[in-house]
Amino acid sequence: MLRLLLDEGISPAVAMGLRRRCHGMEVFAMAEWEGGNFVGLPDSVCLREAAVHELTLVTYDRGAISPVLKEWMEEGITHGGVIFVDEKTISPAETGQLVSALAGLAKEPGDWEWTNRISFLRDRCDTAFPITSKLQNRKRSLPDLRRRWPDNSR
Amino acid sequence: MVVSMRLPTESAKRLRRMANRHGWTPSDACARLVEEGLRRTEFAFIDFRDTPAGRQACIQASSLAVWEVMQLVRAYKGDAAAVAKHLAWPLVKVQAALHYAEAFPKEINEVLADHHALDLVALKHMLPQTVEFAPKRPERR
Repeated sequence: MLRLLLDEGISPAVAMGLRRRCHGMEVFAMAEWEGGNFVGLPDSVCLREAAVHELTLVTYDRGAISPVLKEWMEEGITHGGVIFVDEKTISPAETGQLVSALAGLAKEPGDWEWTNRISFLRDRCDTAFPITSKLQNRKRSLPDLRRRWPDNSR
Repeated sequence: MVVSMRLPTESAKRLRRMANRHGWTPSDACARLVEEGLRRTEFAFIDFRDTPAGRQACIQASSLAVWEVMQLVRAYKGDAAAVAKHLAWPLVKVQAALHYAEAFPKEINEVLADHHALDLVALKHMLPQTVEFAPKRPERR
């Protein structure tokens, strides 16, 4: 089962959202994990401790973490897996979107082994976001209502 | 401008070691440390750290670099209060990052550009096992 540690740049609201949405899923925000003792520590230290606890790190920071992972891979050091989130399709400000994407990731490949796995998580851009289409439908339905009950529109 | 200074022998040795570690000359290392010291004095909550992506301006008591806070500020369309809420930080820390980025826009924009250049293809070059994942959307009713 996927167990997640969210990088400091990801809102703790994402951890709360995931716990609500995926019952039984273990998710920790960096600020609350291990009493917040790992806030401000180098990424390599957090990654090492996450591996000990079999946690997969979720982060937007490709620049600082990928060189550490490359070095570890070349030296044969294992880690608990890393999920890089693509900020171009999942904005850090859209916490609900990130919760949905991570919930989808946790659900679909249930048998994945997360040790040393590296995922690049992105949202599908080919279709409109469901909530947007719902709003559009709602907007479209108003003239329909007026046509059906003209007196109500005044 | 050339400024010469006297350093205790032990400090000079440590400076040389630091310079070697980063591939700088001792003179470069000295100039950088002076500049960082001045910026630390002039800007609240700013610290400098060695990261695998190079030496970066960071926010004190946090693992976030200034550019990461700026990425959030852009995501929230400049709303510093929303970023503070997102990070569960006091607003003043986000404002400190904003002011630093305003004072050194080139430095921050260059790091942001480097970050955006590290896309899926570049990531796969570095970490060949990287797998793209885009979850299925829920069915429309």
